[in-house]
Amino acid sequence: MKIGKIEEKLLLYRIKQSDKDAFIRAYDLYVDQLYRFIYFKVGNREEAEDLCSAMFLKTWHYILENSLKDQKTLKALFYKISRNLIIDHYRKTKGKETMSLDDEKGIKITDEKQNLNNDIELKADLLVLESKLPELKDEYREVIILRFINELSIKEIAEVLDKSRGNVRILIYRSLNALKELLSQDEKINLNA
Amino acid sequence: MNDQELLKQLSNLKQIKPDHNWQKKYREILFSQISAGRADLERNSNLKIVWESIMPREILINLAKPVWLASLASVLILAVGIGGVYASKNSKPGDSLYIAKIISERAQFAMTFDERDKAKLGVEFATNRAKEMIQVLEDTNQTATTNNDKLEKLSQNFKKEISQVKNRLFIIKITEDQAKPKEAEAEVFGANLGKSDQRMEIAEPATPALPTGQAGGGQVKSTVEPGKVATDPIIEKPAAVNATSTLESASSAGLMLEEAEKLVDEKNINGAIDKLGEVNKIIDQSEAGEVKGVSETASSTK
Repeated sequence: MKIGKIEEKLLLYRIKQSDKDAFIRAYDLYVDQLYRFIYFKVGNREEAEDLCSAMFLKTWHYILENSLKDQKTLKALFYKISRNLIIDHYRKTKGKETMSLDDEKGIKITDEKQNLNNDIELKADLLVLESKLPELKDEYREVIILRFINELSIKEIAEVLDKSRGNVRILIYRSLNALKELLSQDEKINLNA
Repeated sequence: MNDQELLKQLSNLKQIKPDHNWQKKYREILFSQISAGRADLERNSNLKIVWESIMPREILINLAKPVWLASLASVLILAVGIGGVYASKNSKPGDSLYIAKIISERAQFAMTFDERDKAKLGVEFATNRAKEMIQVLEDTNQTATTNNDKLEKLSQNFKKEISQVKNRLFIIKITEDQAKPKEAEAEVFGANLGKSDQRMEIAEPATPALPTGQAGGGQVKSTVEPGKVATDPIIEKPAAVNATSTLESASSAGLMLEEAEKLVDEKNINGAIDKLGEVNKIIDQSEAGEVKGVSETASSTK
């Protein structure tokens, strides 16, 4: 679900005024991409759901307490809170196995309408990427999810990561190269085998 | 795998979505959780939101504050200044507003650049000092010693103003004395320069009206008969006459100023004020005469 800039501004304004309906609208708009972001970071569906729900509630409380004085975009705020929650989650689960990407259950794709071909293609893509994404540096993985999966603009990513646009561009370039290298190594191994 | 394929595969990952049931269920839970908190605030229209987003109230207030403060301060300063100047008009030495009067006089003087206007202002200020002397003399609340001191000071200031006016009149006299004959010469030579063999007609110059009544006005001596052409016209100098009148008026104004000084010394202050009034008139008349003379000279050279 896409949203225009003006609509997002209006939504942010309404949320600043503690408008519950506006917040629920924001939930509808952003839940998919935020869930995806968390899911690729934690690698577990249930944990992703828990963190996602915790993130929305925390964001609401943050809005009530801070009135969003310095926040320019709502999306960036959601991502920032998500990142903080994920960091907390990593701290709590330190030493435990992470980044399973639901190995035992397989990735559940909830869009029931998609046809079988798409499903197979997606699963094949995921199988390739699911093994490689966790191997990337956390910073690189994060920027790949934000830029190429959730399609955030450079400006938005810069706001989420608290980096300059130039830094974000460099980070994207490096992370993409790192991913390509990982995939090419994998291809070489497969060919040799 | 090339870049495009990689990006396509990454884009395919977008299809990963949360469980629909969880999403729906959590939506209700979230709504109930946030509803338990603060009550809804009054909703604004989108137009108002857009307006407030473009020009938030804080920015307006922040912008308006210094502008308002600055304009209020300038209006106050202006009002106090104007009020002070008006209130100080009838003040005399020793009054709290007397200094404002002196400052306003100095400011007026500083803003005047023409020597004649400065001379007129000097006469006006001298008149003011004379009027202040009358006020001091009429003031019975002060002791005689205090009044005498004030009178002494005022008399000194009066003489200072008079001497300044005299100097200015002298300067005006010298500058006009130097400037006018040159102009007249330039006119004579200009009229004949390389044109003696050419046919030309010279209009009879207008007689300048001078206040002293001594201005004769230039006349063309050679009368031009019909059919004949004036080849060597002799023109008398109307501007020079004008200058003479200015010099005379300056000297007569100087004499009157001296008389005013004497009258102040004799404590005939009203008489001194009358004399100063006459000086003012002479300066005005000489100025008017000069302007007229200049315009006529200009027309004769056309």
